[in-house]
Order: sequence, then structure tokens, then C-alpha cells
Amino acid sequence: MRSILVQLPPGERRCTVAAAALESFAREIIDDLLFQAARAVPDGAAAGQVKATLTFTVMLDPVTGDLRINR
Amino acid sequence: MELGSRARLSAHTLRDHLLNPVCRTFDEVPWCAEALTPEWLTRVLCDKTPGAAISRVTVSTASTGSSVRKRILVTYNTAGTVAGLVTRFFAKTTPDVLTRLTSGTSAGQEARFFTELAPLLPIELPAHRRSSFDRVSGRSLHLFEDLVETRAAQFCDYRTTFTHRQIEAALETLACLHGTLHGDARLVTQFSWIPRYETFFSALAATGTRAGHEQAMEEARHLIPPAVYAARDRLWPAAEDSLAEHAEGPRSVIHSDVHPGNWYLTAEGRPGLCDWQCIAQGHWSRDLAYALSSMLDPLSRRQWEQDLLARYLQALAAAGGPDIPLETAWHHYRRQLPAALLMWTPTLCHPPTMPDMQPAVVSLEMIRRITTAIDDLGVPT
Repeated sequence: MRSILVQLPPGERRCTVAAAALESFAREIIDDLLFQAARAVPDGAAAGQVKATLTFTVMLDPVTGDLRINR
Repeated sequence: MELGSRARLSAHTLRDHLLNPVCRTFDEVPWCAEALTPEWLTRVLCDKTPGAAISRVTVSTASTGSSVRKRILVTYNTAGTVAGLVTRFFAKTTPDVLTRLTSGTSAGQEARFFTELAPLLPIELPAHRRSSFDRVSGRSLHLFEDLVETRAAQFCDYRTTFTHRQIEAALETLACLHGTLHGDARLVTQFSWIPRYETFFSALAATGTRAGHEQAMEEARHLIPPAVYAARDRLWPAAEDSLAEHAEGPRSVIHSDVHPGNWYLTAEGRPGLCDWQCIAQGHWSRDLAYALSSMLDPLSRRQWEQDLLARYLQALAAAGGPDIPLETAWHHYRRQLPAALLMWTPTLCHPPTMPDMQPAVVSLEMIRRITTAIDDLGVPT
């Protein structure tokens, strides 16, 4: 599963993600979006636009207080 | 930063669909058959006929699978008409993302087969006129004369009942392919672009085909002999084991996808072979096992296979291939059957990155025939 950890420790004001994980996650989202759009594009769609929708879930780790975004 | 190949092919596909570009220069690769212009086709089809030109191009749908196939009808000016130039053509293109992922990036192999290898092979082949491809965008086009017009050919499929003579001629065609370059030093120089069969197998496996194979064994269970179904966990490993045979001795050029739908019969009944994108360097028995098990219904195969195998071996030796005892060939034939099956189970249940390459009824019949052959010749232990 493609996911990224959002660190939000209890009592902390800062919310962080690892830079390498962010890049990897973004690349995978772009890949998924382009692939979905390319599969959905109808013949004769010239000069139009194509909709693509991705669904994510966000889960809380009750122990650490961190969040995980899953694709 | 550069995105991966799937994102790149998707992006190019989107841009092609949204811009719908036509070919402005001859060096451009048409993104679909409809992008072919009279000027582009004139360069390809009229180059040997002074004054000839194409005035009109009409495209109609033929079929879709690992590529999108269209029929092309061209109208010539007077010079072209008087010269009697061929008017009907057949184009294979990769306009959508799934065909680009499946065939677009390997289009170069089919193109090079027709331009570099086909002239060496005295076998029946489609008359190839032009290939054009771009690995970066996945665009590709293969243009052939329409065999239905030029040779009164009939394309075969799983419903074709091959006569003994036709299947014998088909195996002679394969023997010629296998024997002509068997162990030839050019396979590691001039023809090193032909991938090894193991590479082809690994590339397929990397797309998630094993899960599809296992799912298909369940979906087709009602057609699979009980002993083969019971041994289903051993089929994929058996196919992997059979890869070793490809490296055991000198290699041949093999087609790798010799199911009935890739054959046609000329008006004289001569079998021809098309769809060369899976060409590989490997063991001749891979094609032999796949052809015998998929082209014939089990009753005819059981009746003819000993005789056909002997005839194939004669033709193989005559074409420059090895002299193989029948018993040894039988062993190879049996051992390569699981690899043939793996061409069809993932076709029935394919990963999301592969298109619907065949109707389910075709895949199911191929699975029935090949698993029946596995049952007849001995289930892997």
C-alpha cells in the first residue's frame, strides 16, 4: 500500500513528513493520476479535459499520535 | 525529476488524445491510424512509382487487443491507379495507454524482425510496408498490405480446424524459422536486439501475471483436467524450470506466441505467421509445444502429434537446425507445455496494466486445450 507518515506527536505543534517519503508519495500519486486519466480518456477528447479521482484514507496511530495517509 | 515509465506513457497518451495531432512530417510517428495523412502515406507507398500520390485515406475498425488494428483504404491519383498500387492496408497502432504499456515499447522488435530478419526467412509472412515507433511516447505503427485483398488470405482463430497438411506446413514454417539461425554467431552480434526468452518471461512475470495465472486456474477449473488442477501449484514453477532449456544449447529465433489467432492461410492453403512482437532467442521446443497444444483440438493432437513431431524434426534439420532424436524432442515438448499455458491464464485474468487482449471464450479454449495436453503428456511432479 502506498502511504506516507505524517508525524504529529502529542504536545507538538509541528507537523512533519520526511522529504524523501514526500517525494516518493508525490511521484506515485502523479503516476496513478496520469494512468487513471489516460485509461479514462475517451476517443475524440480533443482540447477537452479528463477527470481523475483518487481516494485516500487517513488513519491515526493511537499510540504515537501520528497520522498515516494511505492510497 | 523524471517520472517512471508508466507515468510517461500515460502523459504522452493524454497529450495525444487531447491534441489529436496529425503527422506533419515523415519522421513523426502517427499516434493512431486516424492521424495518417495522404502525404505521409504517399511517402511510404508511392516511393517507387513516379507521379503517384494518395489523395484520400479511409480508416475503419478491425480489432483491438495488445494493439489497435485498423483497415486502411487509400485512393490514388491517376498515376497510382494506372500503376495498380495496392489500395488496402492493415495498421497496428498503440493509441491508448494499455496498448502502449503492452506493445508500444516493444514495437521495435517487430519492426526489426520485418526489416532485418524476415528477408532471410523463406516463409509466408505479411507484406510489411512500414514500421514507425517511439519508445519514449509508446507511439507505434506497423503497416502491412491487407492480406485479405492481396493474397485472398483467411485469418485463423480458435475455431479454425486445421487439416493435417496445414498443421504440418505450419510446423515446417516454424522449423524453418528455428533452423535458419540456430546457433548462428549473428545472434550475439547483428541480431543481439532479439531478447532472450528468459527476459521475455521475466518481463511478463514482473507485471503481476502470476496472480492472474492463479486466478484463471480457478475461473477455468471446469475446463481443466482434474489432475492438472490438482497440480496447479506446480505449473508456474514448472514453467520457470523450463527456462533452463533455453540456455542449455545453441539458441534459435522463436516466435513465442504461435496460437491459432496469429496464423493465416493464403488462398493456396499455405500458413503464414503474423504478430512478431514477442520474438525471442530460445529453445525451438517452446514454439513447438505451444503450436501443437493450442492449434489442434485434443482429439486431432492425440492422433497426429507423433507424426507431426517427426515431420517437424526432419524440417528442422533440413533448415540448418540440430538433428534431434524423437524421444528427446518429446521430452522437450512435454516440458515446455506449462510455459505455453502461461500465455493464456494471465490473458484471461490480466493485471490492470494490460488490455483485454482476447475475448474470454478464446482464453478459455486455449486453457482447455493446453491443460489437456499437459494431462495427456504428464503432469509436472
